[in-house]
Amino acid sequence: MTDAPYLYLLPGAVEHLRAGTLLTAAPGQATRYAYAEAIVALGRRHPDVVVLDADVAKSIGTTAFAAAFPERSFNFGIAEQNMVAAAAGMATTGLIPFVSSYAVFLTMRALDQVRNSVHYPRLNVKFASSHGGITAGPDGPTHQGQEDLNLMRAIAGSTVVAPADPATTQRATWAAAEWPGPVYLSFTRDPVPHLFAPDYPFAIGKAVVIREGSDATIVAIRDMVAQALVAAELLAARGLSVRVIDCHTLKPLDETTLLQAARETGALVTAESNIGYGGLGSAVAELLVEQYPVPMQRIALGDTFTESGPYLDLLEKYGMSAGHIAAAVERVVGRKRA
Amino acid sequence: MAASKWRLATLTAIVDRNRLQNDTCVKDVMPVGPLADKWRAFGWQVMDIDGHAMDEVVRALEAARAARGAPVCIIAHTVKGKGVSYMEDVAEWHGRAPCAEEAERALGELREAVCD
Repeated sequence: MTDAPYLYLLPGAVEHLRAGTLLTAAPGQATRYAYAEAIVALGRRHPDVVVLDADVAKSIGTTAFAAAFPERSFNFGIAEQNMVAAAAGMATTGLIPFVSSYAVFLTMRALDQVRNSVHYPRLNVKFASSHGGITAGPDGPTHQGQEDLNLMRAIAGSTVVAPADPATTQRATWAAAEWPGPVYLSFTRDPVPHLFAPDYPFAIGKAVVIREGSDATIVAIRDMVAQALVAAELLAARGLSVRVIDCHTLKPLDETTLLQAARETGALVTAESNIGYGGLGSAVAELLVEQYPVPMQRIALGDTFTESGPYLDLLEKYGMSAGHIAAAVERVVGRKRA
Repeated sequence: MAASKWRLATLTAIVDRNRLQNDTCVKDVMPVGPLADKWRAFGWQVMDIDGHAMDEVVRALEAARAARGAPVCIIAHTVKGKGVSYMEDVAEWHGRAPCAEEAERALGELREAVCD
């Protein structure tokens, strides 16, 4: 393997990348649990932070917040619409509600309240969703949040963030509390590797180049950042220099960083484990086609629901693994004009 | 359920029970059945009033403010479009805005009623 020009990565993560063991042996944590840890610390700092649950507090880990702050924890049962409407009401009193559930329930069961009760009046409600994309894995298609980022992106005035590792999940949680207005956070059910060192410059709306490269760029979000890094290593072994961008904020999109990548590398591949309508791939394609068209390909879930199964097996089966990303990069590089 | 779980006695819901919805009468679209019993089953205290009788409205709101232990639901029985002859009890006006001419006529009727 080449001496890859990584930025902000933990030394251990780089070692695993070079050894080809990032996805199989590197230490990690489900980002839902990283959120659950962060919200307790945030609650200590901010007395106005309250947490609303809908019968998956144990699954996400927000039971820790309930134990620390019983008077600031509200479990609504399986009633997401009521929970979101109540969060809107709480926000009008100056509280900062973190509404916690699974992505599929928050963005589909309660979408009316998310849109009309929270975003239309621009209330300060934070949505903390686990099981984003197809990371629900063995929980099955009824629990896959495979449209969560896509639906949230379509709402006027929304801010949509999906961190790639536990450390940036904690920082995204704190940043969401400081951000004025609604923020949607998307987490994973399954563990993702610890990737980033403390010097990672996390800010909502700012994509981060985490690997330098000149032949093409992979733009990835949430769980797919790890896959993108592995793909870049595979491609390095084949003589291609590939930039990797952690585009943790889907909206507002960091157009500057993406256009710079298009200009400097001349070909892009996007990688997301959500359905391919209206998500990261669509957002990047809209940007490029209007401002700087270059060969581009999208890695995303096709027009299908998935089977139930281990998360990494699903990525392989539905065309979203590191190998699929690497093949897509080779195709876009082949389409570049000399 | 949530309001009674957390004993939100300071919460008051007012149901404008006018028996109409967008398509036609509620009882023909999807009857809601014994409304007061349903609210009570969810842990609310319920009052039935004539929503057009201001003394009843004031009395109910004062009682709601004094209530303890559980949230209060006031079911206000009303006539939709009350006071405008061509709108009263007509489902069409659930989802339609009057044109300028119709609006003028409606406002005229309401002005007359207030002045009487």
